[in-house]
Amino acid sequence: MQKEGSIVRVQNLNVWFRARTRFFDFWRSASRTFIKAVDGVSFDLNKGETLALVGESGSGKTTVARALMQLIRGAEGNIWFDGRNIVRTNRAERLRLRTQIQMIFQDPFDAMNPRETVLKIVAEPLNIHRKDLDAKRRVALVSKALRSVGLSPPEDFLNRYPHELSGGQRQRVLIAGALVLDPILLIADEPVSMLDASLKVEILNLLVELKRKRPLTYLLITHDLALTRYVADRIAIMYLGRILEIGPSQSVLASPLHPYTQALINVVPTLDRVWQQKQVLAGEIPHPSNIPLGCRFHPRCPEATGLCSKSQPAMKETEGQRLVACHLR
Amino acid sequence: MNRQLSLLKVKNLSVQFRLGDEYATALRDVSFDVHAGETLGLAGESGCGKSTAALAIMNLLPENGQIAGGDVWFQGKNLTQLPLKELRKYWWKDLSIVFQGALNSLNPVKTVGAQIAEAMIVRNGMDKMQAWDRVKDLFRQIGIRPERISEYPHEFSGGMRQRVMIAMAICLNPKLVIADECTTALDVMIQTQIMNLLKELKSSLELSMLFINHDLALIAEICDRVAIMYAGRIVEIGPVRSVFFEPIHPYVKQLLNALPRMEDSISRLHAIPGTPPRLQEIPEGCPFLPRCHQGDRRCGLEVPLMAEVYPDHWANCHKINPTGRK
Repeated sequence: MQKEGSIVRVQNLNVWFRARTRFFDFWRSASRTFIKAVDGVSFDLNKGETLALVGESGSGKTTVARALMQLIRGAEGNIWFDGRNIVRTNRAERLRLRTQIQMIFQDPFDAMNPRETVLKIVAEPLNIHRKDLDAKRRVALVSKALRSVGLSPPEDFLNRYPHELSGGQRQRVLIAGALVLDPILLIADEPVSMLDASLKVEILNLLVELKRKRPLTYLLITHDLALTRYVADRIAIMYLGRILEIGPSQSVLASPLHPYTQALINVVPTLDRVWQQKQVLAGEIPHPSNIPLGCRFHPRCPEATGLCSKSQPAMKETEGQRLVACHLR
Repeated sequence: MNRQLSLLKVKNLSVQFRLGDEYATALRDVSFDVHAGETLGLAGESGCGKSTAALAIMNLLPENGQIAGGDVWFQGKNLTQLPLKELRKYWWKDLSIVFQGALNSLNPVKTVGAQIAEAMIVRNGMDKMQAWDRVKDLFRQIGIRPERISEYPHEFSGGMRQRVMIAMAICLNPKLVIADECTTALDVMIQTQIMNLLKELKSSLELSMLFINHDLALIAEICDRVAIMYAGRIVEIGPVRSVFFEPIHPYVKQLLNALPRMEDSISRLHAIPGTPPRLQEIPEGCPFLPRCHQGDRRCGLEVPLMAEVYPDHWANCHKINPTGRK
């Protein structure tokens, strides 16, 4: 069950996809392989906080988000939301959930229909979930959402098309669309990774501001540790389908526990650390159809011991509400 | 500005694109030098013209783009005046380019080794054996096992493909490599590996590089000098440390303030208000004026000229007084 103050509790979530093997293998069901995109993920999302899910591509962070959004079939484990287990839902329940959980996507250019006006784009969730509203009320709610993301006066934007907007304005429109139903949880999947440096800051600052005014909780999915610092309360580090470390962002970044977190922080390119020596890990993330035995990070870990290749470390609690999955900590 | 031998000299280069019935000026009066053995960084937001500069130098502008003025001097030859046939002789051997999307730049139905070997056979008249030996050497140099030369691009990861592109760019020992956002689509760990490879090659081959990237931290890491572009112009150019520690132009100052750090105690970053102008309607005078908090009437009338404020560190802003100091 959920604990007090948490809005989402994910317990031992698994999302395995069946790997497409060679054409002639399809009847040899015995040799089926799975791509373990998410493999035993557990975390709590507390009311009002921003939790950043950080990892390289292929680490499974987007899959976690999609499982939360009910955009994926075949998720196993538990996802508690609002007192209910939502890992398997029916259509009616999914509809209800989507009024409470909303998502913003990475690419503000791809996520909009170029032939729809801003009004139509932002009003779309209302058309599905609030059929009771008349046109006037709908415009009023859309205007309110536009104003809250800094697109004011809203009348100037309602009838514009995506190509008439700048990149920052587009991302704002998408955020307005996510907010128009007043959700309590907003999942932002790399919301700024396609934007220029200054725009990144603009949109992140907007998200921070929105949370001050509304009872919102964020799950922020990102690969950018440096930006995470300025917006997230807690950070969870994912690697190959599993969370390796989770804790308050300041302490995770200042004194990372897991060797992978240390390595990741070490290579973040920021101007204040340019001229420092960087220890880079050799090799690349293994493919999720072929997860190493024992600790999944051990083949690349500079500190690995014999134990690490044999048994998978469990998450254990250390000081200051930090959790880490490493035999050596 | 001619203190060192310049390998590439771009002078007052302007490029226009035809977009329907409008003209967009993607590059306006851009001048810079790349000295022998030096790495110059070209930075700026998307649409500021940094990739256009690379394409114009290589004469690879798309159909609707054209050089509207200016020269590109490479080892004493004006590349803009050369017919394509002559210019092609420079490609790979003297000048080469690494693009962002390595997967799109590689031929999916040819092995990676064959693609590199082909470049050497066609361009340099090497025989097959020689070429394949050289490919193996190159693979060792870029940190991929030479056995893998006969694999196809899809068998390589993104980082390895980017390494192959780099191997291809250096296969004929060019004097200048243009790296256009060559780390952009990669994860931070792989990105660091590629950066380390470039740094190694830079010193072992004494390469000159034009390193185009939107990430100022990466520029700082590998470049000797940096040019910051805004709306098709260079607004500031100088030695990397000088530009990053003592920025002059208000745009550069604000841009640096918008970058996240890892070791400060600031809890909030500041965005630059407003957006860059559309290239079809760049305002008269200083293009940064609408977003500048120091601008005045003069800025709206005259385009500021480059002035040397610190040694070899230039910027164009009317707010720099004649003695140089702000």
